[in-house]
Amino acid sequence: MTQKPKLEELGSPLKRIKNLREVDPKRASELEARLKTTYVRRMGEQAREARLRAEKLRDKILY
Amino acid sequence: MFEWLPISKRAGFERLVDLLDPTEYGLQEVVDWLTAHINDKVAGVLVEFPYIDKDYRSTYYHYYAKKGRAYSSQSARLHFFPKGWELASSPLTLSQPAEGTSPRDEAVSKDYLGFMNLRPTRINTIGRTVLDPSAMVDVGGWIIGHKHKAHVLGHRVATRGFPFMQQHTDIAVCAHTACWAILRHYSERYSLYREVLVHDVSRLGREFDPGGLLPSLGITAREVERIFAAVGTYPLLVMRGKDDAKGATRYYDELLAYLDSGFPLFGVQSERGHAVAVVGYRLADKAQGVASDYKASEWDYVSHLLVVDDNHHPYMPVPRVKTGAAPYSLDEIDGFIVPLPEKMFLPAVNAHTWAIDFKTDPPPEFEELASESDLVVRCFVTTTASWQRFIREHAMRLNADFVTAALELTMPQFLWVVEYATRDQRSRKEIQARVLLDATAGPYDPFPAFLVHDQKGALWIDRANKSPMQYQQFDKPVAALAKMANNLQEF
Repeated sequence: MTQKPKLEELGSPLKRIKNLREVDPKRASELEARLKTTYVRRMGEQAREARLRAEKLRDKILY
Repeated sequence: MFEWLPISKRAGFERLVDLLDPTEYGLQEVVDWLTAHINDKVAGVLVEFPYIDKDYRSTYYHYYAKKGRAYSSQSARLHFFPKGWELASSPLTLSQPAEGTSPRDEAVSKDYLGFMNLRPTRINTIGRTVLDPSAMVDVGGWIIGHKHKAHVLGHRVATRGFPFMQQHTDIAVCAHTACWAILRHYSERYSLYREVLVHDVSRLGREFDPGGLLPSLGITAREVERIFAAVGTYPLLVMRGKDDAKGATRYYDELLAYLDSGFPLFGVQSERGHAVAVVGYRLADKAQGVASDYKASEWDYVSHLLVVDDNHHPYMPVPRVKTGAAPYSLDEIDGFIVPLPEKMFLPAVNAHTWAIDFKTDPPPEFEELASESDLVVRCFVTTTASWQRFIREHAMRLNADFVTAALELTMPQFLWVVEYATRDQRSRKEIQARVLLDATAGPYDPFPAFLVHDQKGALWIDRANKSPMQYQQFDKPVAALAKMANNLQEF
């Protein structure tokens, strides 16, 4: 009788899925690179502006 | 003591003046409020006196008891019932034709429409109130709510709604009241957060006891942040910018993403110096503004925000453009504070901006995201537990291996969900594709996704096991994907 591996030794649950193929790592890194130049860059600019706007609101008196 | 007030087509509330001191309880104002805002569904009110209201008592002990004018420590409570319910007198019990004079708690609870406490403060006497939205005039839309318990004549009952009270004007103003409403929702909804009474709210914002005159002068948004932080939430303050109309993600996209996540918002009207709790929204099938225009964000289909305003009433619809009945339009809510849980590191602006960016040039497996010309983007937070419940409920319509992986993938407590839907799919409560984003990801992580899936397949990223990106092609396309809608309730 073969012993089943412990759950902690199984690693990713994706190993048990059929019809799974790894995305070409080059394609995956191209996708990340594109998002770095668009989304991430935009977020950097947005964060600075949002911080300044929030600081203006903090001292508003609400009654 | 208990008395029954029969109500017919919103008439009958005026008899309250025969049962309680009209001056102490400001009854004319209360009767006018009830007649204006309670709908025909209410056919009877059980009047309870005396009632010890912990929220009023917190202000009585620290404020009203110190005044020259005598204030009573006793409150009254109104319980609202639909047609069929009555009060039998010997013995004293609620009765209903199907249940007789010994109704089960579940039967009372099923019909119970909520309660309103009246405090003896002469002005603004409507205290802690939770009303089922279905008992209110002109309510419709998606609303954040939770069960609030009450004990009525020995019955343990509950109503679903969002807390409301009028502001005291002295010991607590609008900002305190909006904080109180949000925090009472949190303490009832999540065992993590402690209960905070009205007087506690007026103290938590300051480093010193602000007693005396100070609470009536108002509080700053900074002090509101401090109040939310003091009870264990992590408040995020967002203010509208001038260039938002052109931005990929606008202030209102962020606002809706948090609201649709089930987080009530402390809404700020900076020009008026007013604050409300934003607790829901009303959706339209067509984009607002120029109806023929295609709009890419769920916000563009929101016609109203629903607010709990201490100067008005709970679930008040606030339109885009001010109309005759509305006291203000939603563009006056130009800032908000959202009390977030701890493990939320990726803000809504990132989730929404990423979602818009991703669909402009997606991987080839999801090329329809770029080619479909009328996709609408919706973002909201859910928990992994809620996601797994959703998968379980829809398992028979999904690929079996996909269901297994969706239930087994290790993910953090909170996830951002992005749903893309065409306008036709929106009207059928279906979607084209869905993305799960890691809510614990950093704001500069370019690809914070765990999963992208549509009817044809799924792109998996097992971030917990540092696995490479993998695509699962389904044997055959699965049935139409259902929209997730588990944070708010539709009325």
